[in-house]
Amino acid sequence: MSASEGSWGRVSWRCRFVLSLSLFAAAAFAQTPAPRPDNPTFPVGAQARGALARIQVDWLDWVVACNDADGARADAVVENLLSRTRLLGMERVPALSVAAALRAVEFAEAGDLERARCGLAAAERLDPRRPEAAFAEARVAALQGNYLSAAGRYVGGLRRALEAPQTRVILLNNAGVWATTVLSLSGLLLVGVFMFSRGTQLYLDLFRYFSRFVPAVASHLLSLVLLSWPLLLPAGVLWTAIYWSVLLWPYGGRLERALLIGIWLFIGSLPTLLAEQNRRVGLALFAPVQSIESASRGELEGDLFSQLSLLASILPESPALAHFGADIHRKMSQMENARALYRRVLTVESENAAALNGLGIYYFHVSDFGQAVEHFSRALASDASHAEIHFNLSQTYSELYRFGESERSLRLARELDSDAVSRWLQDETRRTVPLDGGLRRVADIRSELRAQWRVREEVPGWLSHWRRTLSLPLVAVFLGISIAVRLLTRRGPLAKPVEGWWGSRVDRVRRALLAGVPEAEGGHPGRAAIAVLVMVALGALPLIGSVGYSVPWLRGPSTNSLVGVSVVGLLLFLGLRYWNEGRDRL
Amino acid sequence: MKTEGSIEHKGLPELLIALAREGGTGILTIQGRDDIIAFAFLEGGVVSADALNQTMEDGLGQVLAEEGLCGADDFAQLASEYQSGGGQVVDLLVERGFVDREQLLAAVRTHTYQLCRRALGWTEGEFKFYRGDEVSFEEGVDPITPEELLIRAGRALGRDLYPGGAPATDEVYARAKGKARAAAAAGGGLDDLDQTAIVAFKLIDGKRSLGEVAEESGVREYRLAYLLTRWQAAGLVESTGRRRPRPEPVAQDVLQSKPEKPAAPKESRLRGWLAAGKRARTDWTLWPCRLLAFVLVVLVLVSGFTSPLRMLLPFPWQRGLQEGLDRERTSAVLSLVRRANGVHYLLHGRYAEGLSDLVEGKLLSSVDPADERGRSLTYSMSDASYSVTSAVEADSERSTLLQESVRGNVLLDPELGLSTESQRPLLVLLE
Repeated sequence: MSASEGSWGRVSWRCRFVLSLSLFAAAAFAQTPAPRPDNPTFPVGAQARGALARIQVDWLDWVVACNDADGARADAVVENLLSRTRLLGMERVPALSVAAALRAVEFAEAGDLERARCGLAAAERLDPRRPEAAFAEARVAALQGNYLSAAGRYVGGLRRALEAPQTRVILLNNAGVWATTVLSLSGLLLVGVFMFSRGTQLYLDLFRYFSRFVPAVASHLLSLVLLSWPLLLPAGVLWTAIYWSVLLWPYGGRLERALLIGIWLFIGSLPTLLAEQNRRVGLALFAPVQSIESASRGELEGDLFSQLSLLASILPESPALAHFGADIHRKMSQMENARALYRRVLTVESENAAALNGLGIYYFHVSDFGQAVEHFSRALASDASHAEIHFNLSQTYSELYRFGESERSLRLARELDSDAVSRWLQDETRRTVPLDGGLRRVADIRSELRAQWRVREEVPGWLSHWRRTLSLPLVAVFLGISIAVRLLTRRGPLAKPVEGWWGSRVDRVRRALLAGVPEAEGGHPGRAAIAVLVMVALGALPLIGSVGYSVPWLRGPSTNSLVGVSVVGLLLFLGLRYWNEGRDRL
Repeated sequence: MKTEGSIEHKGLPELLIALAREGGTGILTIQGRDDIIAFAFLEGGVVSADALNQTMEDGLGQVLAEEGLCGADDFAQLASEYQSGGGQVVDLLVERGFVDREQLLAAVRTHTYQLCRRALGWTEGEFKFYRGDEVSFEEGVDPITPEELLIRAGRALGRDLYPGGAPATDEVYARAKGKARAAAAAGGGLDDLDQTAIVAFKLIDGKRSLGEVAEESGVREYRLAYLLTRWQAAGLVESTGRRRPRPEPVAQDVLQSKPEKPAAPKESRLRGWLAAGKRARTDWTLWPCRLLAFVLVVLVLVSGFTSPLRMLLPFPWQRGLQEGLDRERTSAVLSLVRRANGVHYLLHGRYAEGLSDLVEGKLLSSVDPADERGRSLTYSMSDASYSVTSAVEADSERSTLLQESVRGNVLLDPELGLSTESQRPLLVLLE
């Protein structure tokens, strides 16, 4: 269907229904379709394509039914759609769930709550774990004026988002980037706070030194120039903070020095931390990885097969990917494709019990029970701890009329997992039980991709290696310079701590506002660090949405609400400080 | 009261105690074998001291050097400026930022105490007290009471200078009980006491030592010792005869003892303003540094809240990492665009005609359709596919960031179920 003719809004719903049925008919009666040229490695067979085409038709049918506010028909269509999905070895269809949820919100915003409920019900059934479905429910509840329920569903949506691997990775990484930013800013600001307090001693020492040779005004100027020249360098803010931290070293106590070393180490290790984090996110955002992760959870994504093909071109020799693909083919009953891939796995991993079991299932499927017994036996020789393989062997022996051996294998299977065996025996739809070992190899595929990307990132030459790890040795350099400065300044008298620059009536307000400064002046650098950290964390709350990566949810919560949380938090924090200042004075 | 006498007859401590009790003002001179020291008394407390063989400047310089506040060279230079008419040494010390006003007053007090201690250590000499209405002293200095002087100097010199003997730091006292206490209280002993002294009195419980009571009540130890002798004489407290050693020795230096009250010199309003002016000058010396720190804080906040990672990854060789971060952020945006457009197709049977369609449909927030460097993404759509491009830096060319088609997507591709081309017209006819 072309885009120009595809707008569903331009055709009547009846006409669309007819069109849906005709598509269904076309798919259902399709004969021996030619393989798709765009999926050379993971071709979708005729039977699977038929099932997929019927899913498309079911979806269109659901759109029509929901638009007609025919809830019963919509429910039936969803049931059909899910049963077809299960035929393909999958359990959920996230894209359709999201679409249904968003359609429900559209209906609710238009004031049509009945259709909205239809959409929400479908969204929940098509993928009961979708965060978008919960957010849509929250939105609909809010539109109905049920704010308490909306809040509950909203929290539920956030919980689902944290449970969903893709959103969880992004959310956690965003939190990581945000925390990194907050810690870095706090570290640099803490140096500023130390300069505000302890720095006065440093400044006085400089000023006194210069005042031996020049008038007071010139001494001030020289002292200021000596302290501020790094601001003129590229990245001057960072350099100035580091320069000051080195100069302040002799004036600080143990805790202050420990904090300064902590700041250097953190800023020094930042490039490595960020590179690792970015690599992890890059992998999580890589569409083929997203697809195989979804498939391993039983989620049918539209681009699964094209992404698998892409992945196969990236990792052509990967036994993990071949095993994964084999399991996918087996689930879709494309047994010949599965057999080829299982064989490929076994050429590299000859003792792979899951692949041997998969191949045994293939031979069972084609009634080559002799081969099936051989492969199941090899699988057991490799790993006899799986009740599934014993059960499969028992079934195969049964087909070969070797009932004694069948009974013995069944007993062994029961010893390993009696409940599961009873369940398998009651399931009349299948005779053999897979291990799904390939579907559990997503982590292996990710590791292989990561290793390949690392190889690509490697730049030859000692200089690049040195530069990459330069930041951390710099910390040792800073420490060395600091100790040298300390030893040099030991020869002359250091200025004593200068306390109390507050002398006006607005003391209390200033002490409350300048978080960290009164604490540092009072000789409590730890408290100063905490005060600065809390202040920066609260102030930087709205940055969560901008410093990290876009979260892969549609119509999800926006970070705008964090501005309010940030403002309220800051007011509370400053109010508490103000109150404490008053209490301390009493 | 005997206002003159000889040190050999031990009349000096009695004179000091008497001066403290009557709140005497004037000058006490003590002539020893090698030196003459003069003390200025203001209302019973010593506020300054001077010696014949050591100027006040020399003594003060020595104290400041001992305290590490001002090196000998620096002080010598200030003293030479003072001698050449450059101003008072104490003023120069503050103006040049060597000390602030509080530190200066503490140093003056230490210097005064040291001269007192020296004089009290003499074993022979004559003393004489000249009464007066006014004495010269550095305004704001905390007066040294004779009790403090006698008890501290006595401990430092290893002699019992306090009349009747000063209570030991580790000695434990108890309050008198019952009728004896009531009778004693009626006879006086608790009159004219400030709040801290009353707290100290209440803490005397037969368990705490003198040092512990002083520490917990905030009353200086020498004063508490003095008060104890009074209360003991009045029958309010009595020694238990037990001792309770303290882990920490009593601080020897006057600077280390916390004053009970800030100095309360009787100064005119004009003098107060002048003193405040001096303090203001002290603060001003520190303000350029604080201003600089404030500038850094502002710059960190501005850079941090606008582009934190660029500030933290400043080296040229970290550009690759920066670009990598940018690239993945753009990937995240594109991933969202891909999902949003897929859902748009499912809902409307076609891809969106522009990114604005996705924003209007609330599938994307308004800030999403841009890459991480803020460059707007350009979207173009053909029959069953779309692409997203972005302007290459400093170039009019555009790079394709995302290209997507319904072909290969088993949920969107309408041709999935068609086996031959001949089946297409059937659909067209139906439509």
